[in-house]
Amino acid sequence: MRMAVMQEGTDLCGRVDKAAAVRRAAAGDREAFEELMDAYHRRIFAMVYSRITSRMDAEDITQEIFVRAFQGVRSLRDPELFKPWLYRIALNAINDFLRKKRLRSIFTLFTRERDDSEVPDPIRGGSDYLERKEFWTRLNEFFSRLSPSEREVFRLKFLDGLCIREIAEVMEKNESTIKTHLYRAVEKFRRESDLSGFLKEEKA
Amino acid sequence: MSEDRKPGCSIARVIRYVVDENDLDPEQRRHLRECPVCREELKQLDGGLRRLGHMAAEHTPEPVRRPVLPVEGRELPHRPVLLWRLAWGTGLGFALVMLIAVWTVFQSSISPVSYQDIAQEMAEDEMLLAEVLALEENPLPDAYREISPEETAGIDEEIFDFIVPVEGWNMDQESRTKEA
Ligand SMILES: [Zn+2]
Repeated sequence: MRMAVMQEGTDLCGRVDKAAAVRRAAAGDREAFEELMDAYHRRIFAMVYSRITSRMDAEDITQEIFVRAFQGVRSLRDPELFKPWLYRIALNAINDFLRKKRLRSIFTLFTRERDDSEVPDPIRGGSDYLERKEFWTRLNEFFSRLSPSEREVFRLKFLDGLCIREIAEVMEKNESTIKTHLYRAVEKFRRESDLSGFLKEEKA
Repeated sequence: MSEDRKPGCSIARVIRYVVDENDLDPEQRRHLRECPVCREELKQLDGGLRRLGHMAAEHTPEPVRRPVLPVEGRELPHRPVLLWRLAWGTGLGFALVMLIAVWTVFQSSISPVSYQDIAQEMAEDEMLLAEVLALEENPLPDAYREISPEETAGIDEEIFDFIVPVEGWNMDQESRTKEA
């Protein structure tokens, strides 16, 4: 079954999603948190995967995100903020992982870093794997031409499906700053004729 | 994407609409709805971004493991690879510290070298060389020098001639007599 991350997120923007479950989880109800975890697990995994492109690392980081959220949910006062709060935890966990990875790469200059993204998916077969690898390589080439803020805002909006208000909460910046970054990122996306062509090709 | 726009058209407006449609006033929105050029721009840009979102979802694998929440008083199951990585990292860190320590000791043993030290070393070398040359000239120890030919060079030749007569002495004696 293929995922539909963007639609799920977009539909939820501006609405209180699972507010009752968040309240119960904040009151210490483990089952309520499990319910929230089931609702967000795939979305958070997809968010992590799009930034790491390694399935095994994405699984580890997703695990860590939900543990951190579970341990901190009691301190969440406003249930409406659960979603951006969870995405902020996710973003921090991803950044922690990338920092550690950079540090490790200093120590392992001459040894190969584990990269399971190079291992074909046995369930979905080799062609899917090659297609996936090609897609993320092309997309990351585009992302490399954006500033870190532009890149993050663009991903949160068009890959994770968050709205401006949620992105502002996640990144702890005001909405007009988010819009400025997003405007620049979209302008660059529009100028990327290579990427536009690639997207059309893929669709055909 | 079309670059051939009418005077009232603006790509900036199209992008602003894509970023947040609520940012445009009713007049600007009406233009986007009615202008075929801007509508086409919007369709292309918005379509491209939506396609990107769909494709990102399509190229994302399904998660295999459901996260496990910690139970109070019980540790979460660790993956052996994480422990291995931790051990590896600690080992590397220790090796690095040792390397720095050894390097520091090595550096302090060879440095700093001052000009004074170099000059002293050169003087010592010269003295050594002088000794070597002296030995080359006369390798015998002092005790033997007194009986060595070089040391006795100043002794009268007549004594030598008396102790060790040379061959053809008579001829030599003759020539001396002649000179006298
Ligand atoms: Zn127009």
